[in-house]
Amino acid sequence: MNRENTRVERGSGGDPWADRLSEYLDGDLPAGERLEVEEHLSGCAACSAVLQEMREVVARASRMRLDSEPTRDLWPGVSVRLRRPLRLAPWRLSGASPLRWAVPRLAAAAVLVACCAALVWVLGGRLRPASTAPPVASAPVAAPAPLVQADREYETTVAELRRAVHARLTLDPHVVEVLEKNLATLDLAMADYQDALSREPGDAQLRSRLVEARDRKLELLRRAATLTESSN
Amino acid sequence: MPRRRFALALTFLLCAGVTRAAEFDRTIPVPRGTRLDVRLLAGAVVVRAWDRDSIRVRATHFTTDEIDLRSLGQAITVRAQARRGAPHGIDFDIDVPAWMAVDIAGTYLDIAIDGTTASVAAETVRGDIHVKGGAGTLRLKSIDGEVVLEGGRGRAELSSTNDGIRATGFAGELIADTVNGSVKLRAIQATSVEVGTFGGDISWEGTFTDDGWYRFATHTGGVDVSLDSRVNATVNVRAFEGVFRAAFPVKLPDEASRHRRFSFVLGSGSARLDLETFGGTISLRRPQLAAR
Repeated sequence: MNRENTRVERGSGGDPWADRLSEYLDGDLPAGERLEVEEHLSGCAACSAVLQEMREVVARASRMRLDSEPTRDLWPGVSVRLRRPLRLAPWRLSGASPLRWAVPRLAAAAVLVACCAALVWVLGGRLRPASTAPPVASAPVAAPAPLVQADREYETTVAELRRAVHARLTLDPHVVEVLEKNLATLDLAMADYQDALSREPGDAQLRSRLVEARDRKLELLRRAATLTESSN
Repeated sequence: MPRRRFALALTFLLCAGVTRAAEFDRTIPVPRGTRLDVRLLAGAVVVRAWDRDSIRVRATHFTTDEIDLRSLGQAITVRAQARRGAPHGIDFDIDVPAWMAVDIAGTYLDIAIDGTTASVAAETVRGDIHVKGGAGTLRLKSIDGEVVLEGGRGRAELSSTNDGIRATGFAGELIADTVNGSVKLRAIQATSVEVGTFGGDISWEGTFTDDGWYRFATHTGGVDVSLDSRVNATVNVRAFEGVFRAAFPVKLPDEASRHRRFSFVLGSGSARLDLETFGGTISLRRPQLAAR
């Protein structure tokens, strides 16, 4: 490939270092780039301010986790309350249905869990102490405890939504098939990202894509549940 | 539309012998600022803009079905329900003032909207969505159906989970996402474009505005981008386990092949172009060299 007439830049946009600050804060930059960032920070007030803000957010989040983490797992109780309307009455094609409020609740729970999962996922990387040595590439990476909790809530919500959608689409197995096919595609993508993350645990872009895929899966189920409910 | 056949088949399966048809045709005046709100189970809705301040709703339906058209606050609502038995698919033709915002949602519904100059929201589980025109927020979403936007301006949010998305001649901000479908964008004049798919390809034929931001990301598919020789863009490439190729000279860093993550600048570099694939191919080409 011809390498003339263009110049190479790290990062993107106006300030080439602006989107590397997160990696710098995480301690994920190679030594050479770390020095370059520090040199840049000494002369760039804007980046210094952004970095300071990021440090404050991390510190706040850290305090928040210690102060507000529930002492017991709340999800089973929430889940039971979400499921209750589904047990009370079968789905009807027309007329007022007790399920009318079940889907919005599930959808709201899905959004809430997605937000929590995304936050924990992002902060899970941010909150790792800078002095922690990066894991060996071949060793399995243990997920932090809050992530395990978020994962469990995520999977439970996905299962709840899936059941709700299946119950409403019994007349059209084709749509169920389509949904499952697309959920499988998202699962495969997530597996790829997780696999890649086990090799490059500090890769913020991979992490972001994984969160995106998880959000997409929830959004797909939420949308199918809401649409089939509201138009019947 | 192919989905209409499905809706009709479903209709006949469900109605079990009740076959008498009835015509619905009503026209009502509407003050400016009124929006159209349609919620249906199955069938097709065709909306056309006209130059009158009134709305006309026409449909052919089974006598066992009831169509409910009413003015509710700032909205004209259209609903259908079965008086007995299961509901059927119904095809609607609706004429609306061009200024009228349109909001249509259904489960097994094809939606076509032509000529409106207002905002559009169209959402279906199984069915195609085809919109010509529109202004403001254009939100078109289908789970199993193609989404097509021709023209229009403002902010477009296009989503089709299992099928493709096509947009031509749109101006403004554009977001397009799908899971297994491909995304084809042609003659787009946008300052901000964000396209994501997991199993499909992305292709772009258009201009990049200085200071604009463009992100094309796919998982297993390819990204095919036509770049004019006068473009000013900082191009950020992330190929993970995929491949990058350019049909014109591009200077890459030495470690590019190892990391598959690099940037380069074209012209002044004022626009930002993020290209990403996990396992596919990212291709840059000149406009005259059609790759597909």
